[in-house]
Amino acid sequence: MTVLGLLGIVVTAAVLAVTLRHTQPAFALVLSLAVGLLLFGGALSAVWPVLERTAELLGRLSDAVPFAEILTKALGISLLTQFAADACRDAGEAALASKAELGGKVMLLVCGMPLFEYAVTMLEQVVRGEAVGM
Amino acid sequence: MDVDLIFKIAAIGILVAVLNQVLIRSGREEQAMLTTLSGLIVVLTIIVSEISTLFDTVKSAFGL
Repeated sequence: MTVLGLLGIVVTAAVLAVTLRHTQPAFALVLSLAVGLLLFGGALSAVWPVLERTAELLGRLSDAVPFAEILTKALGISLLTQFAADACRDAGEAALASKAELGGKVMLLVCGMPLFEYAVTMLEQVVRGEAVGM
Repeated sequence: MDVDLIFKIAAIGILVAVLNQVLIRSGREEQAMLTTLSGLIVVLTIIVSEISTLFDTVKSAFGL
């Protein structure tokens, strides 16, 4: 999937959604959702090698803390939350969108907790004048 | 990656809009409403399976 193909899909879908919006708003919403799905899938498959390489590089950093795993997990949660919140906001449900974002933030906090622990441990070692070890 | 999905949904939407107009003009509001509803259900069944595929992909890709 080239960037031109991606942009073509978006513009075509925008025209179709505008055509539908004033008579059938629900169909316009479903249409934008479908386009979001397609683009999301395309972008994901394009960025996948980069993600894998980053995970490999981060894997070298430390054996104790699974940096790469936490990072990819957080990225996945963020992307899915953004997708759901945007769909809600498109439908005019701003309150539901902010609730979805709140849920995503809480999940991120839970999955980022090991990193916070790691940072606190490191800080403790620095404050006590010990050598910083991974 | 199938662009057909977008065209399918748009085609159903336009068809339902036209049917809706015709039925309303001929004084059959209830049938018009039912047509809209059934079109929406058809489109939703299409999109729900796609959403499920996407969620599965993301789940396996990001290790959720």
